[in-house]
Amino acid sequence: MVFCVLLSGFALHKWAGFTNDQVIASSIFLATVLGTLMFWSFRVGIAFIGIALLLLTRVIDVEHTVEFAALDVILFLVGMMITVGLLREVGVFRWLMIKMVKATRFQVGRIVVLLCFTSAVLAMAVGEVISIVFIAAIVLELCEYLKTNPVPLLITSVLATNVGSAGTLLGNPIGVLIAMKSGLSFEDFMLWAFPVSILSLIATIIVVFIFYRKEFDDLKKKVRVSSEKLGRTGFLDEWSVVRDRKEFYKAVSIFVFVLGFIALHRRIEELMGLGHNVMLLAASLTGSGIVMLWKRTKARLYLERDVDWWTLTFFMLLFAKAGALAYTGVTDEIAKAIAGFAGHSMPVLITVILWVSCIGSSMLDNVVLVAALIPVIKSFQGIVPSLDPLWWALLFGGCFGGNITMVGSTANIIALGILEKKERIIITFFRWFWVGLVAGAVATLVAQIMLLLLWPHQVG
Amino acid sequence: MKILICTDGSEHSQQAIRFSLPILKQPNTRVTLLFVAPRVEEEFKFYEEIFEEAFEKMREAFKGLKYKDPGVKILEKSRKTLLSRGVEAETKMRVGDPAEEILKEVEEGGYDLLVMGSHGWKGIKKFFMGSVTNKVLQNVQIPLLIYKKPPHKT
Repeated sequence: MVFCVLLSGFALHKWAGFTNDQVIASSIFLATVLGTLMFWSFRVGIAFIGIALLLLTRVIDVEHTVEFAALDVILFLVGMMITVGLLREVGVFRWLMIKMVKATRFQVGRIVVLLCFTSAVLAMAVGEVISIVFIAAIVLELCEYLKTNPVPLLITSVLATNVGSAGTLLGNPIGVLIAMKSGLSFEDFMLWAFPVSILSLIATIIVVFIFYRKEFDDLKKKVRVSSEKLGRTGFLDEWSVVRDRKEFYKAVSIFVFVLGFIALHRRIEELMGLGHNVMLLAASLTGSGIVMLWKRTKARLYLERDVDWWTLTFFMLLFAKAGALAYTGVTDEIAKAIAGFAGHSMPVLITVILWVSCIGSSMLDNVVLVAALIPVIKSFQGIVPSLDPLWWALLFGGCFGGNITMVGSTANIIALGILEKKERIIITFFRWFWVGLVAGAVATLVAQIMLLLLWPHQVG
Repeated sequence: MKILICTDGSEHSQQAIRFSLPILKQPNTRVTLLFVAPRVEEEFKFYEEIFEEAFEKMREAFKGLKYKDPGVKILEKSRKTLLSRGVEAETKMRVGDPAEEILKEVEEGGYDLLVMGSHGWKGIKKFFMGSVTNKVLQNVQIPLLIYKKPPHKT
């Protein structure tokens, strides 16, 4: 790894004409990329050392490191994780999962479609990670009950989760990051990202129906056998998994309150003369504050158990390193190179950014890729009539590309972990790859068509 | 003689068991069945507790379901195959990289013979999957019996 980083640094200095600061900033970022690719458990350690090196070599100063660390994104995610933690504790997700199973009426077509829509919508509301944890739990129970292999249904759910995570700014950390950096609002996401995400989801469902037709046919037979047993036991009471209904309703009310303020944040900001996305952050912090005041004896537990500090610390350091790329002008150079290749044509730029982020996020953590590409897109300010179509291209590529390989997104990795822990199954690279490649490519293609149709309206 | 048989629940490992029966039935033979469970992804560990709680609670709605570790099921299946042929075996489960764990078990258990099946992957699949059998073959210090399915006769 050290050899690769040194070699690329030398190459950038020699052939791309990079300054010393630019070489150091890009080499340290490359080390983070390689760290996430090859040494997953060392990635936070590598991120810490990277920041220390940037400071010691005077590439950036402490003030800029703090500024680039995007505390707004981190605090928003902390707030949402706490509120979602409350929902989880009172049993909202368990209740929802059992409701969904009942709604399937144990018909295979309905199982697949409802599973996909629930995965996607839950990801849109509470994020891809919590969505897949609960969806995976219900898929494993359901498949054990029907005595069938859980892998096809679990992969299907993960694909739907990733596609759904692009639908709102709550779905994926890259959505929050893009919203905070671009000034796009929740309403913008509902207007431009949500419909594309739903269309791509429908395309994904068609792909899985074709790809897993044999497995789903087999499932149909299993369901027929189990249906007699279902009639006898008359199971599944969704309230049996909820401890206290009053707490349940209170928790849902807090979440709806937070969601309401998030949905209206742009209008409230305009009304009160606040800066871009101030209300977004305030709504998340207020919601989590109320949770911690209400459950004061467990407040510390919420902060420690429900907030993924490992990932958030990595994000902070990563954003600072991506900021160093912008600060030293590396991202301007990349933007110039893309503009040189794509010209100033919006359709070509949309296509390049969409597919670069799609392919990139299939191999890398999509947050790493998006953090690096945000300053590149900002460098196009003034060159193109509006940056909005490029932000959407980055969002869709980053989310949908995650479907292509089994390490493409956090949701994939968690689903694999669940399979390894509970089913003792290791998914091989190609078992995921073929269905992931087709589903990822089709969803991205739908996004491409929609973006090419919609970009003149976004600019206008 | 102490014999270690590796099983992963696949047809290859079941056939390896059947193929080695004449050796397993020798007098004074102690047989151990080993299943190596995969190591859980680090990233999942943070969500493990949340998942486990959801998994257990939702089970309440699916009346009559009881969780049994698939690793235990795999070992039971292989043990039954042996018992039906009159061979007693003890079972063991380890967690981690399959080849590394098999080699560790061989070293710690003082076995005289190792039996395993080979999936017989070729080309690109072999490149991506690596081969547990190959890694064990390169590093094991005791006799090794590999069962490889013969090609289909036309």
